[in-house]
Amino acid sequence: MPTGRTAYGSYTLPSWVMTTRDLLRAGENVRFADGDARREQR
Amino acid sequence: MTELRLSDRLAAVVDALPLRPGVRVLEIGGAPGSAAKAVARRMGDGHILVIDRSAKGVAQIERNAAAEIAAGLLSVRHVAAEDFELLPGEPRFDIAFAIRVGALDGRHPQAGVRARQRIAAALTPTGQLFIDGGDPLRSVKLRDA
Repeated sequence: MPTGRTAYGSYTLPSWVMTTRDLLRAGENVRFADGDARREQR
Repeated sequence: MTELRLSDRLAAVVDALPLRPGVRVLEIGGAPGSAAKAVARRMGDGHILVIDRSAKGVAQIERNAAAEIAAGLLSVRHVAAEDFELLPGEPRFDIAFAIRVGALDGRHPQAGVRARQRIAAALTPTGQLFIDGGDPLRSVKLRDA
């Protein structure tokens, strides 16, 4: 299951939340808050 | 106005929001401003405030939505959802939405508790918060019935 980290700490991605990889694939202007991981790790 | 490509998913999100002329909208975590710019085109003389906890994100919105900001349709504030408060005399918002915001989509539940409290306090009594993960949106319960 994808995991990642933001300024709030680490997280496991809930199944209903798109991964950053999927967002980029969908053509979104993905922007990460300061200190956030660039990708969820698979 | 600066054009940002709006993905099909974000276009569907904007389509699903109950926008109407004069509506006041709060977007949480809205950088780089793609969705907010699309909302600004659909709310007549309404207003959208975009908040973001990232200083870089706020700068991106200010750059990308300079025309909407100058026209008074859109404003930007550097604040996290869990710290957000209305300014003195600032009217409440009719709609709030947050797309892939960790404090609200289940990634950071503790931050989410406080964020939902702050958002509820900034909405009208009938105001609604929408997040992604539905079809394409789902409404978040903010107060007891």
